Amino acid sequence: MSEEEKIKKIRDRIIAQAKKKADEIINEAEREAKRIIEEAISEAKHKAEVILRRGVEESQAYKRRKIAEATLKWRIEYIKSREKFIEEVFRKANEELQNLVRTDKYRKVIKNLILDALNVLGSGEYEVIIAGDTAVSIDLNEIARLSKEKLGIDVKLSMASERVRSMGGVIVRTKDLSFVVDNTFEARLKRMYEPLRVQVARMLFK
Amino acid sequence: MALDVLEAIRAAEKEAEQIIQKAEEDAKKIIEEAKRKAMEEEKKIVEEAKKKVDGMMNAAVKEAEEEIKKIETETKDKIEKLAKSAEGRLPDAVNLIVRTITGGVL
Repeated sequence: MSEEEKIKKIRDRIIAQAKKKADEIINEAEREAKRIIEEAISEAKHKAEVILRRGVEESQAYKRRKIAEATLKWRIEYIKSREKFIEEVFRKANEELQNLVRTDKYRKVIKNLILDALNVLGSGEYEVIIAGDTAVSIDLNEIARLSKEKLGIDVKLSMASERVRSMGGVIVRTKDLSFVVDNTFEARLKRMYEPLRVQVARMLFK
Repeated sequence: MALDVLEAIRAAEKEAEQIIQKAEEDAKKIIEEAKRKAMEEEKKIVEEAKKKVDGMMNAAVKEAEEEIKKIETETKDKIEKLAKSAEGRLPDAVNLIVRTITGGVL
């Protein structure tokens, strides 16, 4: 082998080794690059999954919340409309009661309400106050007689001198005010409001 | 002659160094490019997911609106029916109250 050929062989070997190392460097870089991309994609997929899962939850929660709000809102509207009717019935009843005191029927109503009060109070001596602006002449002796006949209750009744500010009805009381039955329309409405309300609702919405 | 050999080896080593240096520079570029591409891919995947979520939210809003409209219509119908049936029963209900308050006279 000539000297020249020997030099060439040495040179070729050095270059070949360098090229081999260069290839290794590139290969390693490509492997690293692949790893970087794969890792990034995997991480991104994980992030995307979290975003999607949260998105599903949030969108469903939004939908549920909005529907629940609307359901409640319209449930309230429905209840309000029922209430409106009930209130309308009470308003009209109130009107009728106000008009009633100016009719002939009022006298009978007063008699009935006095008897109702006496039924609660029992035998004794009582004062009667007739409510309402209209003057009604009531025969208290007749009511005492009816009380005895119908209820078996002995009473002595007198008309109290004072007036009471009310739509109508009566107050029956002992003179010392230790027992009072307030049978004015307002008091009866107040006492009977809840059961009446239930009955009215049943009647209207059956 | 020996000097020639040494020089040739030095030249070959220099050339080898350059080859390796070039490979290292290329490797650096490959990594940088991979990092850029990784970020791009990541951004793309995340943006796609966000876009899907936007779609889901829009669909949820639309579905909710439709359902709300349905609830509204159904309730209004119900209220209308209620009004119709209650209207006719209103006088009886008024009488019930008046009768009860007046002690059954009327």
